[in-house]
Order: sequence, then structure tokens, then C-alpha cells
Amino acid sequence: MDFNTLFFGLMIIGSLAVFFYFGKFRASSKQRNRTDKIDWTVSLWSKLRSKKKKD
Amino acid sequence: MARHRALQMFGRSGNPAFRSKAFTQRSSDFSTSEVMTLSGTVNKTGFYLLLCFMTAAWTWNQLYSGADVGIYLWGGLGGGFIAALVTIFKPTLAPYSAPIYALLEGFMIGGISAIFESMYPGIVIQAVGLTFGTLAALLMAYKTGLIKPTENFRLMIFAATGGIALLYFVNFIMMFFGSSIGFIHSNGFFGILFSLVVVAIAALNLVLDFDFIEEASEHGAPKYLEAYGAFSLLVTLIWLYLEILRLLAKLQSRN
Repeated sequence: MDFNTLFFGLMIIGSLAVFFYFGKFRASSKQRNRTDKIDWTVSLWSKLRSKKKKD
Repeated sequence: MARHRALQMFGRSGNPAFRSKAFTQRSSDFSTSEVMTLSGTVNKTGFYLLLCFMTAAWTWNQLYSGADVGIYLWGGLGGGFIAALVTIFKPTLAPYSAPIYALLEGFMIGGISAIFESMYPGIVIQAVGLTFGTLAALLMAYKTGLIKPTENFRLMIFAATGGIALLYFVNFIMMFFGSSIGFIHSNGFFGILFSLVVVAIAALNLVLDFDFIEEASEHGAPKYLEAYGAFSLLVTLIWLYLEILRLLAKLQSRN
């Protein structure tokens, strides 16, 4: 096994482990308690349309 | 009827997969087994990645055993596109259409990867490593609050993604007339700069996917959005992988 395969192979295993472990935890309170969060209830199109009407 | 209304609720992240509305439907509207969770979405993402890997490995082996893989490559591309459209416009079908998308895209990715690997040995594992490395790094950056997705961030990524899609579409049309947008494929300074920008935009789409999944599960969105969230993550990951593969190929072709 060459160095390229070993290095990137370990990188894949490590990254997947991080994703499957930390992906199941909720984000930090710093992330969740922001006031400028994205409002996913409003689509980007309707937001842009209402902005255009205001202008 | 209330359930049907829930379908209209979720919006786009900027990558080809999220639409809007569904947060108004609270967890109290569903039984707990019908509510989207973070771990359910992560598990589904893992399952779809596995499906994608299986068909990719199959096409890869076919190509190396000397078989013609053209039909798998184009069939996977076309079929995957149809499955993606079904998932985007009918999110309730995501639990069925997203695994089909993963399987079909695997055929396409396996063929493309094998072709690149035959030209530049060792390139595929580098591209896979960098793709998952980016996924893990951005997940940590998002979870810790290092990257904060805001409305302006979403608008910027959406506009940039749309611009790239338009550029690729124009290039695709030009190919029918025997021409193309030169710098997209060149391995010169602008070609590599373009690929770097596209990789960055694709990677930032992951942040929007994480935010959508986090918010949807926190608001107790319906269960089928687990499959939808995993599908969006897979779309972005496949796009990111192909762009990294192209960037590495450009860099290696300079040697």
C-alpha cells in the first residue's frame, strides 16, 4: 500500500467517523440561539419577490 | 390534508434540493415516530452513500474488465436526474426516490471515476478523501458555530450556485455547435481558479444543508424529510466530489 492510499484512506475513515458521530448531536447553543438565523419557512423566491415589491 | 400541507413547507438550500415551508407543522401534529430526527437523517445519508458506493464499484469493475460502460454512465446520469426531479417536486416520495437516485448516481460516478483513475492513477482516493474531509471539517465548523449561515449567506450561495449552473448550461449548449467556454476546461491559471471557486461554492452548500437539517429536526418536521435532507446532502456531496476530481485532474495534467 503506497503513502497516497494510506493517507487518504485514513482521511476517509476519520472524516466518516466524525460525520456519523458528531452529525447526531445538536449544534452548539451559539449556533442555535442566534437572532439572524435563516427563516426556512419562507422560500427564497417569495422573499425576493416581497423585497422587490417593497422597492 | 394537514399532512399534505406539510409538503409545501420546506425550501431550497441553494444546492439543487431544498424548497420551503413545513416548519409551521409542529411535532405535536405528528406522533413521535413520524418526526424527523438528526440521527435518522445521518443514518439515511450513510445508507444512501453505501448504495451509491455499491453501484459505483460495480461500474468501476465492469470498466476495468473491459466491458462497455457507456450505458451505465449515461443511464445513471439520465435516470438520476429524473429521480432527483421527482424527489425535489414530490418530497413525500423521497423515502423511495432518494435511494433510487443514490443507486443510479453510483453507476455514473463509478464510470467517471474509473476513467479519471486510468488517466491519473491515485486521483480517485484523493478526491474521495478531500470530499469527506471537507464534509467533516464543515460539519464541525457548523456545529461549533464557527460558520453562521444567515439570510444573506443563503442568498449569496444561491446566486453563486445559479450562476455556475447557468454557465454549465451555456457550455452544454455550445458543445452541440462544436464549441465550449474555454476556461471551464483549461488547466491554465483561470481554469484552476474557476475550479477552486466552484469547489468552494459546492462546499458552502453543505453548510446550508446542515442548517436545513438541524432546523427541520428541531422544529419536528415530518419523517419523510429525513430522506429529503439526506438526499440534499448526497446531491451536494456528489457535486463536490466531481468538482474536486476535475480540479485534481487539471492540476495533474500540468505535470
